[in-house]
Amino acid sequence: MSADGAGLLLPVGTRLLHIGPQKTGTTAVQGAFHTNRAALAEHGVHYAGKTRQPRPAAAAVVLGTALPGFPADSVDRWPALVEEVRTSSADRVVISAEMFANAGEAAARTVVEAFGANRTRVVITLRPLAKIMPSQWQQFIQSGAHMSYAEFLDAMLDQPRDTSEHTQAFWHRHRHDELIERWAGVVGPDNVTVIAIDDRERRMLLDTFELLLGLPQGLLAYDTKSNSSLSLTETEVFREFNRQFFLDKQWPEEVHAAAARYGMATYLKNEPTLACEEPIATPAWALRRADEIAVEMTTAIRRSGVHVIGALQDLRHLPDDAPDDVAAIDEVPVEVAARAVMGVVWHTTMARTPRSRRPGAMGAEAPAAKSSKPATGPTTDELTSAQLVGVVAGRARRRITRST
Amino acid sequence: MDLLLPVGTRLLHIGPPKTATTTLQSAFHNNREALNSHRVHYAGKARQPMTAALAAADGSTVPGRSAGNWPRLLQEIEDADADRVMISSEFFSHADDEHARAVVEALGADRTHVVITLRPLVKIIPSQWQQYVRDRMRSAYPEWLDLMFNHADETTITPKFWRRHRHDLLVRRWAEAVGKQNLTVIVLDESQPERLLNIVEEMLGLPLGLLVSKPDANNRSMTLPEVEMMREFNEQFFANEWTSEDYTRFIRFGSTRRFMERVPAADEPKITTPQWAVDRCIELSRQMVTSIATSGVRILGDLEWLTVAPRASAVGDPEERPVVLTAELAARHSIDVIGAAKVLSTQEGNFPAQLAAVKQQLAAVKQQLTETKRKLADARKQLRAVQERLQETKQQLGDSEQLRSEQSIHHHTARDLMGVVSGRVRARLVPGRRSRG
Repeated sequence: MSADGAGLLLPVGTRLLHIGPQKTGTTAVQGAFHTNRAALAEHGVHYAGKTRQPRPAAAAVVLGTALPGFPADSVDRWPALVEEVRTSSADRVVISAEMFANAGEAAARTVVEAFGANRTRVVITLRPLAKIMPSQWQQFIQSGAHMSYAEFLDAMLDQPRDTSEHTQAFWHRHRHDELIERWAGVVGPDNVTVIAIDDRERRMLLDTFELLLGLPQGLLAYDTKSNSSLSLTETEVFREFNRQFFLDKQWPEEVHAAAARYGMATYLKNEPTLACEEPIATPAWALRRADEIAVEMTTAIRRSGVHVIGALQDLRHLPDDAPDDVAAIDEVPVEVAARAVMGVVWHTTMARTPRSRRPGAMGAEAPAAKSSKPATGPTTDELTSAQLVGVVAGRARRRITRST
Repeated sequence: MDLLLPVGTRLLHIGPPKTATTTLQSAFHNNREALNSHRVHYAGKARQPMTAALAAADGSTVPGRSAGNWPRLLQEIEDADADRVMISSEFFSHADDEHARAVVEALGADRTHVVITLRPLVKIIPSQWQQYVRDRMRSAYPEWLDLMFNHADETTITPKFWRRHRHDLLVRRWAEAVGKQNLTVIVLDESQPERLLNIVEEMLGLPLGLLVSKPDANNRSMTLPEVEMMREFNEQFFANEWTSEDYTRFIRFGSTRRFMERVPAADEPKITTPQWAVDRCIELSRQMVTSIATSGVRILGDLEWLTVAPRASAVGDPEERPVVLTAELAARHSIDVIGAAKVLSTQEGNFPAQLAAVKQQLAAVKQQLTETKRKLADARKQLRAVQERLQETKQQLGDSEQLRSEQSIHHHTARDLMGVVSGRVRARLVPGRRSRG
């Protein structure tokens, strides 16, 4: 692969399937595609779906269910997406949702076959594991978890992978060598492109997508929204909120999805960060452990035979000014607390609980087949002479009736 | 001193706010039946007739609530089958001279007695400020104190404050309206909270101890971190251009009510009043006490109680550094917004309790299901045993059936059958032959 990007252009007809994983700049990329649809169309590129990303459709095929807070019939968006991609007359179609990275091998195969096994190019974006850790923790908190960062790091780095739902989900997405192998096993290594993101070059990701899709340089532009992480202060308020929500009140998941994940999180992210807020800092021991894993992963990726854009060594990140311990937040500024309330008010006063549809009527059970019994009659021994005479007389009568 | 008021009296308690009004009102509201049996009627349906009182006192309304119906309340008082009627709302204290007169005339000038409860201004002030913050106000405490003490004529913020709390003017205004012989000032003694209830019991001819006050979480003051968070929230709320109606519905009478059920830690900082404002309060209180003492109204308790200095812990400048919260407090109000919002509220509005009830039902059903499944399994086992026996029996039956069917009448012609009959006849005719063929 040459440095100027020549030879990156994907063949006409390609379905570029960007599967994330989470926390690798996906929101920014998706925003760049979503907000530049008209310009993309002029250059033969179709961005699948109507929104920033087709998350409910991806969840339908990967999880087999509707996302919390979405109506039950949102699972119909998967066949609709497949149909949209199938019938697109564009030269190249882009599908991007980090939910796809959650797929097991079977679901990955279903996805690839739906888009066309012979024309799907899987794109995986990667950032250093050490940078993903804090980002993923606060994302788990936004989704309702209430573990501290210290607990999270211990669970992810010092416990077996099957310790909890969270450790399983985390490593399914972020054991990047295995993620790549899983998808390469489905489409073949030659149809997988890995982009190792260089955080120092802001446009690197967009430039790469432009080259892959044959777009003029600079056509893709970031929009204003980014899935920026919450600060440590905000995450700690959120975490305490989750604790009260799920442990004290035992309120339902779908209310959390609406009021907190969309309401509070969105509101907090849209407000400017205060000077007193601190970022989530990862302690030195965790950075070292993450770096060991990063080395294992990059070694495996190098051997995997997939296309690699960018430098795999950029996936190592070991700053020397890391703290010894995770910082504790004892005090929260009133502004952050008030913002959290605002976010909830903002959403709950507008919130509508989705009406879930009644499940369709079950097919009626087939009626049980009636057993056929052989006709038996009494034996001559069991009847009196008078009865025998009666039987004969009856037969005679029926015979007469039939013949008339 | 005999405090008992004549039969037919309407006892009008006008507060002002922050003088144990909630305690008194809930004691009446929660004991309506016992009051009735002693021929005392407590006017209104709720703890206090807030909107009707506002309508009567200054014609104002509460945002998001329909205007109060003062004539309807008057009609209810008129129709009451009782010896004495109690009417209590601190919002009557909003009345100017003219409205005070009109209220007294509407109730009946010859049978109305007015009660005013008083506490030291220096204690009322922080409590009143946090109450204003709970009702949308955004001003910081020092800023608000400065406005009230130094710029009251120029500001539009909390315009009724001095109408409520120039207690000398309040007493003289209502004494003018009702006659000084028909006005009682009760100076509250915080070491004896029961005293207020006992005085009112005596005035209305109720047995001592009949009025019982229920503790109400909403009656406490917010702590400093609580009120500062609320104030910041108000700032952000109105920066979003939302309405006072929304605020009243969702926050003031929604989430804030739930939030006040929180139990603050003992060491959570309280609101403190700067020394200069304390000095002004005491100076003003002395002036007010002198004026009230010479007004000619009946005074129960010692007016000097109104001029005592506050505890040292209640005095001090607000902290220089910004107020910070514990995470528990920071997250708590967000929870209460959800608790108060439509997303959870059903008719009873108590989601956790309902959830617990449903869970309990579910557990019971599950247990029944397990039991039923076990019975079903037993029954199936029995059924299988019966079926096996049936199979065996059928087998045996099948063999005999074969035989039977060969002998069945269906297999005989009419001639055969008649042969059998004639054989039987022959057998009967020829003794010794016993065959039944």
